[in-house]
Amino acid sequence: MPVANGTITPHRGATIELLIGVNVSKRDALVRVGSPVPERIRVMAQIDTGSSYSAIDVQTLTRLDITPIDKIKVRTPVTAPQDAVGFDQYVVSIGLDTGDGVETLFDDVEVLGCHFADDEGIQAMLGQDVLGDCLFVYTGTCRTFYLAV
Amino acid sequence: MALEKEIETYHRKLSELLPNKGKYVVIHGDEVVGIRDSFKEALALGYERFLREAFLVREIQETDPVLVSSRSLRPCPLPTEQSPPIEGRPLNS
Repeated sequence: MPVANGTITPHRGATIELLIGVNVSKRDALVRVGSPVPERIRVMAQIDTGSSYSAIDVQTLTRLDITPIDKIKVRTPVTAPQDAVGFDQYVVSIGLDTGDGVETLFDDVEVLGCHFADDEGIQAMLGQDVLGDCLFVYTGTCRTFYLAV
Repeated sequence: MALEKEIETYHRKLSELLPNKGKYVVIHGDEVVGIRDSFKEALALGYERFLREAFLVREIQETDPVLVSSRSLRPCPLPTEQSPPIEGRPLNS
């Protein structure tokens, strides 16, 4: 079971370094035709238990040459209920560098493509869709967290 | 806009697709490429046929789902009129 221990910081909360890559279906298709598979990209992800979905900065998705597979509407705090905003949906693989190598946590995860501001210091967000398959322990008094998949 | 045509095709053909509610459809342009039981199978079909092109994979449902976010995210691509200025930099630089 891949495990990550992290520190909770005042501005970013619980963040974890992840490796984002093409999804397994695309990887298999690329290998079949003899095309190179893009290298996985390291991103800093914030764990957000308040979001029902996960999201990745579109620059990372572009570097991986991943195209959207759908578009979905999302209501955010700044939109009126009837004015949900359309987000592109992508499918990626998510891995974790355990120190002894990279362990793939999820082969095919649907994520939203979005922009994170540079000063946020993150390029991804893990929401309930991913956390639903994890054990997440947030120890606020010690400013640490534990994530196991 | 990415997938605009595919989404239009999905809505146009939804009544024909609904007997397969809960399954996943793959659409490329005007063509319904196939329907599969699982998301992974649908993805595999899409990449097998259109490795270098965009295609739509969607669960067949009567209504389009709407997600709710507790956080204000910015979609991509941003509509030009919604693009926020970069902090500390004049708009016309």
